[in-house]
Amino acid sequence: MHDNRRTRLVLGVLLIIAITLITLDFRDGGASPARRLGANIFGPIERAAHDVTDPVASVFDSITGGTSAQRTIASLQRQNAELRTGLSAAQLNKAASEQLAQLLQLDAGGYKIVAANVIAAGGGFSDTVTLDVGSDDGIKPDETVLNGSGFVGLVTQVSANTSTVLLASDASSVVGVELAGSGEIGAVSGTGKSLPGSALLRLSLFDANAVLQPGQQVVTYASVGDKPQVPGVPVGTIVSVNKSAGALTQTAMVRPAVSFTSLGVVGVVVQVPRHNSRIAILPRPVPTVTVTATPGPPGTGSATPPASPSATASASGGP
Amino acid sequence: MRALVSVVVVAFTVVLQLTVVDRIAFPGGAGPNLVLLVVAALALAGGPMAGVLTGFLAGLALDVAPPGSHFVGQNALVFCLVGYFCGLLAEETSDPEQGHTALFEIVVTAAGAVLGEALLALLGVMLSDPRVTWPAITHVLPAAVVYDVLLCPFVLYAVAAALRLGGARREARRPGLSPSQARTPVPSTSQAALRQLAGGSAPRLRLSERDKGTVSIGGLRGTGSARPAARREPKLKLGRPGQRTPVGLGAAFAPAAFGTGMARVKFGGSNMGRSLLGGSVFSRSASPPLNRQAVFGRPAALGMSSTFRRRGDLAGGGLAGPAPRFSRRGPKMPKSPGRGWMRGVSSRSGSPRGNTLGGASMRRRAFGGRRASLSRAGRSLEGRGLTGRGFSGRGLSVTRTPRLRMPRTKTGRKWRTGGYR
Repeated sequence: MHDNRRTRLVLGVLLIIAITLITLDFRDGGASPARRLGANIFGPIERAAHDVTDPVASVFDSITGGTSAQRTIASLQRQNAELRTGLSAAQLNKAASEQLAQLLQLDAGGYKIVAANVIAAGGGFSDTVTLDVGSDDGIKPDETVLNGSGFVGLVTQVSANTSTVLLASDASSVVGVELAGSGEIGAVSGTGKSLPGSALLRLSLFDANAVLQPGQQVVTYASVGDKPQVPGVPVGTIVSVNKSAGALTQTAMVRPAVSFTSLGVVGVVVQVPRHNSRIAILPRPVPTVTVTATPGPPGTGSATPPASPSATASASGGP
Repeated sequence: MRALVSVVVVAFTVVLQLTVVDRIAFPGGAGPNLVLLVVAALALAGGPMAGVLTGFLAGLALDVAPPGSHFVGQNALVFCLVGYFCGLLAEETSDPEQGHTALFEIVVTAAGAVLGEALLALLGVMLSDPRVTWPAITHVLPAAVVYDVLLCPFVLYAVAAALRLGGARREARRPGLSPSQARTPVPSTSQAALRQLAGGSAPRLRLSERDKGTVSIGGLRGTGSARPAARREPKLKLGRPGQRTPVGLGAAFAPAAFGTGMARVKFGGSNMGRSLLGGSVFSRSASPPLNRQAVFGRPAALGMSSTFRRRGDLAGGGLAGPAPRFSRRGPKMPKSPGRGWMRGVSSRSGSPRGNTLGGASMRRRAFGGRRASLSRAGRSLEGRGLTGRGFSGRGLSVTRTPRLRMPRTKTGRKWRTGGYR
């Protein structure tokens, strides 16, 4: 009896502490000092553990995800090349990629990208990962994370040696996007675990009259100060359009460009070229850029309809 | 010590969970929650208080570790409750039943895991986590529960092994306790390091045994210990006339086989092992099994014996506990007691595993045969003797530990059982 009473007392106290912690964290919006402390404690441990456990995880990846090793190698090589080249806008249109890169000065090192390893992942309902880079490497919250395939997520929390990334597939993640072809803007949100099988993203366009078609490319949209995301990173491809009469917005399902379950090496965009206006960075009308250095003549439209979007994009991006 | 081991186990599990398990894309959309399972297992072994504390700490660690994106305290709250639930269930059921079966432990752990997963989802809904929607729950919860249940036995075994390991080390450090310690580790199934310890300890055992044989009662502790020994010895005598023969290692086993009061006692002294291994669970489970076997002498218990118990029995408990076990197994395995001893001895000296498995069984048989012959009353006496053995036979070395933990519960249990039957 005595023991029971004492146990109950301890249980009650601990429960109150837990509830208090939840409350505090709730109030702080998920950035309580406890988490920073935890990151400082567990970050180094996870980094060390990563070296040991990475082979294990990759083995399981190969079992559950297929030829992961080859894919990893391929993706690393691709990433290597692309990180050097800059943002992966090239994927939108290889023919235009070089010119685009020049135009955007991606190639000139306008973007500074820090490569990082995924060392841990959040379980349960969340889609988050931990990177082995932190504020010591120049990482700051709200920076864009990408890999060779496209947009991965956004940095949410940073400690000295680690940083937490909210993947685009997380149900609480919302990313501003635009359609590569038409320039229609909208938002992509993750579906979390609510969809069985391969995770899809949900795109909702702001314009109810815009035309959505399966196969259209979705890229990130410009944001003020390039935070939270830098523009022009491929997010995915529309696979199906949800037509619901009377809805104020159009929605579509987007197959993400990256595989969120087999992330290995990713890059964090830590710096955007100063001298380059955000406008120029917009890679959206990839095909149209054929004219390259002559933005003055809006005649770019000669190539295709996307030309107009480029103009609009620049206009919109400027502000 | 157990607390330290628990902390290490929990920390290791948290890191393992975050860096490996959560990175694996399990079919079904969700993976197991190893931390939850470990908390349930530790609560099972340590009782409600241990469950509450380990649950809270484990949950908090999982909350603040980097990739976490939920609110700090969610896991702490849930794991705390799960630890309490499992600990309570283990404690409440242990007394009447005199210990748990492995099936019971697995079921409790699985129930704790299910409860934890459900509470996590519920808490997420209450906190309006955008990720925790009904469709998400319907996809995540079943898969997570299935994986948890599948991994239950393995986690239980791993936790018990970790506790045993920690316990063995601890014992080895203490010189006075060396004999019991050494033996416990040896029998314990899987640890090479332990084996070494055991091997080194063998001489110690002999010494202690000698002491016992000569000084039987007053030897190490003096008056206090002497008294209990005297009391219990009669019991032992009942079961076994030749108990006192003091021989080195063989003596330890032989006595057990034949009624070795002293030697066995020392082994039983491995109560140390029990406590170490299972912690509260072990002490509980270990003692109960003894009682059971001695009193009941039923075979069913054998097969069912929990992982914790088994270890205790096999390893340290082996000595003290073995007798009762023997009784059970005795009927099953028709071998001569002498063989059993031999094997046991040889195994101990040589390979630990053989000892645990073969040796235990052998011993049991030997004892079982004898015990079986004994009347129920005799059994009950023996049972007492076993429990008491810790005190009496060991009078010297082992007695101490057993007394502390064993006396109350065991005697009470024995009485109860006897009364019922």
